[in-house]
Amino acid sequence: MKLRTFIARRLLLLIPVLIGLTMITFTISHIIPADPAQAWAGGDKADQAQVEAIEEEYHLNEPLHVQYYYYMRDLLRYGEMGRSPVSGRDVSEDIKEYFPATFELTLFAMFFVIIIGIPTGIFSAIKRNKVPDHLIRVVSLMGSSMPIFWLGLLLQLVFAQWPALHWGQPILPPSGRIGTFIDPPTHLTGLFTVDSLLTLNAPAFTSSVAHIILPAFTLCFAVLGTIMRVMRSSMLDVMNQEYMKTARAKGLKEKDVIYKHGVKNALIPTTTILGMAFGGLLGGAVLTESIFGWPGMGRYAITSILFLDFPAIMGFTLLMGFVFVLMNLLVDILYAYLDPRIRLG
Amino acid sequence: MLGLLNKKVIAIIIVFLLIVVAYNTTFETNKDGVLVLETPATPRYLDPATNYETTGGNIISNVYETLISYNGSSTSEIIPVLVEAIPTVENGLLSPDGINYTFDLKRNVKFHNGDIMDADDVIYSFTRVIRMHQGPSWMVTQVLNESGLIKNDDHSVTFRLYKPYSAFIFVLTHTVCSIVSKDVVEAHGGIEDNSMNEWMNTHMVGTGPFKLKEWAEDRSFISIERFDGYHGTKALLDEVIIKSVSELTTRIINLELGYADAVYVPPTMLDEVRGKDGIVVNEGAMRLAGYFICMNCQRPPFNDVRVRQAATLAFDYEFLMDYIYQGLGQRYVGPWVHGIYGYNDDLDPYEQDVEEAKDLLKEYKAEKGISGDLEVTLYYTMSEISDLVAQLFKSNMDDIGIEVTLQFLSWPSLLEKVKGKDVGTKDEVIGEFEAALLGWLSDYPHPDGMSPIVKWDLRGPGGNNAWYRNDYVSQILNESEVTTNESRKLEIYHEVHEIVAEECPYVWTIQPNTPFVFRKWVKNYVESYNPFMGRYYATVYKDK
Repeated sequence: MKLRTFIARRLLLLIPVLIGLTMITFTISHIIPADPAQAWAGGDKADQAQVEAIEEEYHLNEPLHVQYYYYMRDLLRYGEMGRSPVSGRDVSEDIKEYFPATFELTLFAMFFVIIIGIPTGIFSAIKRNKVPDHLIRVVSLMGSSMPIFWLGLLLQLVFAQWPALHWGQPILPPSGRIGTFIDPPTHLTGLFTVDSLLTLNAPAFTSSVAHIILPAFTLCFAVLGTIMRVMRSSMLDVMNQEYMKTARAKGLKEKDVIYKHGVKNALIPTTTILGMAFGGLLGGAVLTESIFGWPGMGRYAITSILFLDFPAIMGFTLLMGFVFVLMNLLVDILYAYLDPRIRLG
Repeated sequence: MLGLLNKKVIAIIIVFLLIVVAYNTTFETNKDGVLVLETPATPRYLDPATNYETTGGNIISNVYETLISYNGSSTSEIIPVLVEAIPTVENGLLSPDGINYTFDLKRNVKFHNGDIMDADDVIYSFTRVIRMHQGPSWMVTQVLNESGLIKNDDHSVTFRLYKPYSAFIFVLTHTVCSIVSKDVVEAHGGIEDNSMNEWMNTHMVGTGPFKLKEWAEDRSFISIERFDGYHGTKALLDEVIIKSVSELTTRIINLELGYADAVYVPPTMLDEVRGKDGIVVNEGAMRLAGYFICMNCQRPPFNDVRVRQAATLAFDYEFLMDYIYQGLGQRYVGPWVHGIYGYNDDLDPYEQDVEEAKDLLKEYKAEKGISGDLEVTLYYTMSEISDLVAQLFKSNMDDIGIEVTLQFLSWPSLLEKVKGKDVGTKDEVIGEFEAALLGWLSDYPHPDGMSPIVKWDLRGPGGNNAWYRNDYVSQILNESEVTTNESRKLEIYHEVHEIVAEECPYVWTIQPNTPFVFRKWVKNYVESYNPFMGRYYATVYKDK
């Protein structure tokens, strides 16, 4: 099947997936026995008229299927995700503010995963059953079992608190997205590092890069161990293949055998994991964002859940669902590119 | 070893990171004239007619002003702010029937955009509160409607209440009564009945010592800067930045590094910061708030006063005070708290008496023919402390034969429980719970601000959470709202106090303090706090 047809088909399939997602999320969030209108109206002291006004605005007194109809109508006809009763803004506005922060954090986390996880996985395979291999495997196990919040706190202590106590200056800032006294860069993409680079804003660039290092490294640890192990085992698999022996027999340097012939094939399963990890990190950055005061989707999601902010819950879930499906598609396409034997569809 | 990345690329990345780190260390992290505070909360709305929570309220009280307010840390001494005098019967500005309050406005008070405040702004500010009808508006609309807003001339207004209300002066100190600029609001959406003004939720043009500088789009911080055109004493600080940081450890690290000048630390975690170099831990000031466990007086077993008294006697107040709240608070007997006018200091709170509690329960069970333990569910929302209090209550009730199931709920779900089901007329509705862990923050420091929790006509969430019914109490409290006879009012408050203490609709656990944790170079941080208004930043400064 041609690539274009494959992509078109997958994008069309996205529609029923997202509709199904909205139905399930809508139902689950609305059947919780609670009265969000009271909380949205201002809590226990809100008077009945205010509560009724909120119920009217959000159709809370209508049957569930009618509420769902109104939600889908506004989404499809106007592109509106509804007004968040907690933030007071349209959910799409909230997402525009919070999503770039999480996206930027995830991008940097993935960058760390790639530049650390893949090379170490390869090296571990090359040095199989030797000391470096054992050390790397221990580290990968730590990565999978270490609680993210604990790692985050540890990094704050090691890179911020202790250096400040001993040398009077932290190595890296412990929280936030940019220095308190640095103006954020002009909003172009919402990614501080990219926007500051595009606007040649050196203070904003260095400050935003410095601020993202610790949270991104913390976040990357969640998948780093897995990537290291997957890369190791697929390299081992590849290195035992006949064509690798042929390449060696032809007199190629070991370096060329490994990197030109082996790594590309070994990357195939790793790419799949990376793609899924990206989606997972986007949705699962809550703890990291809390520890480092990172104003992203994680914190937004928590607040929405605690206040039963239906529009925000729906918006967040739709977005994450869309990202997951998109990442799946991209991984499949990349898969086909890496391995010409694979035919799409 | 480094596989896909050759050594040159690795070297470039490392050099780049080193440059970033080195350059980053040259940036200022603390400025003398700028106070940086870190708290887990974030404001919701900045419109005084809409905001009904503490974080936003503290910002509003520094950017906007009300006609009258409190003197320093006092919650009873009221002083004029935007007016020349407080209305009293003696000075003729309050009519003897308690209906008409006349205010002569101060002249040449500027808004942050340079406009001069006048009577039109005052009338407009109250008009929008009434017509928008948002969260806190009930405080105004309970006694005032649009026809009662009277402009006498450009510098004088009269509020004509539709019923007498002796606490009205206190109501006027709440941020909902802040004065906004009519021209500014009209230029940005005006007034829409029963709706918020979106522009006013995110912008501020007041008369206060600070003006809004920036509220980050991602809500990660809000900053206010000194207003040099302020009509009173100018603020000592250039700027105040309040950052939202949810993780406690991160806030503490930022405080130690000097990235923050003051942070919020809950009472249970103060040991994390006590004794640290350069950091002050102050026990803080009393809050006009009371925490309690409310017992549903309409549902078994707490519909019997003996069971409620037993629960009250069984609770270990000493443990709560010493170990959970670390001594940061005081005992009280509701419905009022210390610092509220009319609080009877001669009324002693209950002390733990397990034996008497058991006797009361024995009597109850014998009468009802119950042999085993009583069973109740305690609902609560999660916070750093509420979980501990809930566990303590469970343990104490176990000791006397009441088996408590703990159930954590989200705030909307808890409200639903307390609200109860509508099964017909309002008299047939009772809360769907036996016990709930709640609290009450006075909207204004007057007994009327806290009496809803024992008035039958205000049963349900936002009022009488315990569904406590004593028609006599409700009747005399209603009388206290309208009488101008001060001694009769005091008599009523004391009588209600005694009755409620006897009938125990709530286990009055603690009136907490708000601890203050800040760097030594921050001055006047404690003195600038008012238990009702929050912190007045204009008098705070830094001295390194």
